[in-house]
Amino acid sequence: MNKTGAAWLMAILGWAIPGAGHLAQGRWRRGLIALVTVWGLLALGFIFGGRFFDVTSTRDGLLMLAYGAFNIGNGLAYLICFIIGAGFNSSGELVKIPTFEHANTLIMVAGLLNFLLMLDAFDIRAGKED
Amino acid sequence: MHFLLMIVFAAAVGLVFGCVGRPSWSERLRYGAKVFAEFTLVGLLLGWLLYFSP
Repeated sequence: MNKTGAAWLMAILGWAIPGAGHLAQGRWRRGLIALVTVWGLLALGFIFGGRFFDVTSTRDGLLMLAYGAFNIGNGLAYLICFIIGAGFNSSGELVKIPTFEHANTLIMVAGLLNFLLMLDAFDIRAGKED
Repeated sequence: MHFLLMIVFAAAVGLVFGCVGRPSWSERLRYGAKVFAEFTLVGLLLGWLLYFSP
């Protein structure tokens, strides 16, 4: 596999499982920090009443599409939840939880940070970073 | 609880920014701590400013 292909593979690995792109390149510390941080934020988000946003529907408004795009950064976790229909509770019960907005922010930030880590894994494999 | 979640958010962002933003671990630690402090302070400041807004 050529350098660019391998770099893309690392990026996709890193997207699917946070830190996997770094771990596959022997960057243990960075990989573990990525895994713990992203999945930790995701878990806290759900514990405190957050949810994923559907990226295929504008039923909740256009802004929710952006939220959904941020959520996609959570990789396989989002994909699996999307397929089995879990974690997308939009019934309105969650809104009553005082930490609902904060929890949603944590889930979105987890996705955005994973996008950043994914690009970092790409850069390392492409030789743009030591 | 809201403050605690903000601290968690700032710590997570500081960790990741530190990891991807600097080449050596000592620099990463310093930069991560700086990002954490900035997010926390700005969050507190904005919180107080919004408290006084109608």
